[in-house]
Amino acid sequence: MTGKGKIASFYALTVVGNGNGLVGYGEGKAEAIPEASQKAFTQAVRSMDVVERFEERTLWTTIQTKFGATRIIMRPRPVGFGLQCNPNLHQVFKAAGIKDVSAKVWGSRNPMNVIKAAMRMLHAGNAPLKMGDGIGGKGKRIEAGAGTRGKEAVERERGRRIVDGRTW
Amino acid sequence: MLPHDLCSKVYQAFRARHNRIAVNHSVQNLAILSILLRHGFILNVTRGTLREPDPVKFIEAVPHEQRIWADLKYRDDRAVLNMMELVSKPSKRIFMDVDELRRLCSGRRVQKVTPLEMGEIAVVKTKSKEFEWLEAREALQLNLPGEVICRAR
Repeated sequence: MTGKGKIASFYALTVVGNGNGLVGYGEGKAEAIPEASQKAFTQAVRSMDVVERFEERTLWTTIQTKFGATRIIMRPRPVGFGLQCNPNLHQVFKAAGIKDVSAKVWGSRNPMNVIKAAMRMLHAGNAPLKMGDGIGGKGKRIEAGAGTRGKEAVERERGRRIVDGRTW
Repeated sequence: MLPHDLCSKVYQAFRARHNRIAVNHSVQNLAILSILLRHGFILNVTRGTLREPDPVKFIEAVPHEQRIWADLKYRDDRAVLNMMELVSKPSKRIFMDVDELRRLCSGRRVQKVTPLEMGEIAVVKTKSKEFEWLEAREALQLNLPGEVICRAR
């Protein structure tokens, strides 16, 4: 709102990925759509992070999260299963290079929150204790949780080989 | 001490980032903690008294003052054990034969029990005298059915 009246602005949320393990999202606001879109794209590229995948096609374990009113569960699935999920999650998985997954969204299906929740689940936790570093500020809700960890990380942590009996 | 007490004691101590825990000295507790040790969730298992982990003092102590101590394991600033919960409850016992254990270990649901994910273990109590307390995959290998007591991840 200015002296001359209301000035509308446009918001864009972009999901970016290389289709092979990297994915990120960005948001942008500007007074015209192309500029907003460009800002979102730039931020998305900068926010890309690795997603741990099993056989480069699916998740390692079933993961659940609750982000605001959005509750999501994602399950690994066998070869050739495809992406059986919410359309917004479909875009995220496609960008990340995950090919076989089944997912369900309960509660709010607001695309913004669904995508933010999905990113929180997929990216391995960089601040696992959800604590601020004293410089960057407090721990952010967007970065909460442990994220997905691959088999190697878990093996390294326990100092044992993990026997995965999964038949698919 | 019910298995539930042990489960809650262990994972809550991890959440509170304690250094070590002391639980009642019983065959069940010793067995379950040994399984956790074998799979890398805790650092060591020692007998002791309620004051400190000391195997010599354990022998001299009164039975109700005997304890089992376990050092908890943290790596990369995070707890190695995230959750430990009961599967077979007093209100609903879960017994599985070998085929059902195979389903559990290979990623399919059995008797309303979610399958074991990557990095997850389950403790099974069998009727064998020699191998009474086993991990689910060990029970499968030895072809022994039993009660699925708890799971840890």
